[in-house]
Amino acid sequence: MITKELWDAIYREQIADGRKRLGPPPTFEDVETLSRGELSEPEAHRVRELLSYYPDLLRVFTEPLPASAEGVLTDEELATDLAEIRSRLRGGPISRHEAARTRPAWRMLAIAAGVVIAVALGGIGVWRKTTQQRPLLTVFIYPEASRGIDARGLPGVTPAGISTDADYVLNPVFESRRQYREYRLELLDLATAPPKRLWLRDGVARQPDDTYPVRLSTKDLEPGLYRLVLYGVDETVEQLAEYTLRLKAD
Amino acid sequence: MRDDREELYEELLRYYPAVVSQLRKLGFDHEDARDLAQEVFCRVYEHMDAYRAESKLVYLQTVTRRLAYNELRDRHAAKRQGIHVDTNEVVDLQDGRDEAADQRLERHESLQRLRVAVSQLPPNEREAIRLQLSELPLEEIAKAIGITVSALKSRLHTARKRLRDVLGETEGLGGPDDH
Repeated sequence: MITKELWDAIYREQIADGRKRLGPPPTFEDVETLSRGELSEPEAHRVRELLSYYPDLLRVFTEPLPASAEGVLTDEELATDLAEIRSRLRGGPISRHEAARTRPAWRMLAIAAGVVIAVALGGIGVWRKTTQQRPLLTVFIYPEASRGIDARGLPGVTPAGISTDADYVLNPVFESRRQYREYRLELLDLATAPPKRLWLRDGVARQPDDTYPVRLSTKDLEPGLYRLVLYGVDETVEQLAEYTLRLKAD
Repeated sequence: MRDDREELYEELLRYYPAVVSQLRKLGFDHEDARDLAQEVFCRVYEHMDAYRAESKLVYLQTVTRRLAYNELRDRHAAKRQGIHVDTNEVVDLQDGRDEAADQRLERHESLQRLRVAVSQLPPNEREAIRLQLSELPLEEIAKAIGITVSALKSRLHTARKRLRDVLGETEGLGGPDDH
């Protein structure tokens, strides 16, 4: 017999699979445009499908402002909150919400500025290939900030810049207490919608400094935006981090 | 701030508890809902020029939805980056050790039949089933995703018929069967 419990299990499977396969949810602006009927049919189909895998986000558009909110706040809480709003509007202290979002310093370095390049030069990590004129550079890249990402995953903050006249050893940084059986890296071309996979590397090794080095040759790539995706592999494949790269012609 | 805007803003502030309540229903805990509601009203104040007096509630609703949506979306991004996983959302895999072996086998076989049946549905019908399983009101879903209620119910009806033909029943699916 097909019970509700089995339907729930299938639903969870669908949600997990869809999120992995299709990536991040649509932006608020995309959903607003969808609900107004102003998207093209292919775009509408894409946004609708994505949204169906994120019921909590869909719910934002289905849950109305309640007619009554009695008992939600105590009188003291209401007075405190209204005073905080007025204080902020007069240039007062930030809210607890903003304070709670302040991350430890090391995360601020990694996240607040978006993707950061740290090029290791000199005797630490740069060496030149004498047989070819293309230099091989080592770069460290960090997971991009989540804000500012538009519907196609293009970042609103500055991505890591790389050049067509060099090859790279990319060191994506990702710290996690969990250790996976193995790691996988995928390179996507963001010029297409949906992004096109260019390559997939299995068996990527996690280094003691929480990097997952991989070599990237830019020789045959067109200038534009690319995304490197890090996955952890155990019984299932879990997406861990995304890094956006801007390839510039030199 | 001009007096008329001040008055308008004070009127909107009366909806503060309602905004907190709405945010609670969207899954935010009490403290986060209060913090986010404060952010809503600060944004409303900052953009009062964009506001048309006759649609003050719509405007408030839009700002609330935008902030709530972006916050939830950020939390999904944080999960993808492995920064945070809400333990409430960890899939609760049923421990079948208390079941008899034949019951476990039957459940496994039923799950597999259901999995295959759903995978064989056309994409828009599979999507309709997913939306049904979200347990959100169909009329509101249809409005949010820009299709008519009748179109959504029609897809559901066709999907359920297909599933019944394959599985023999759709007992546990719930929701309306006819449109």
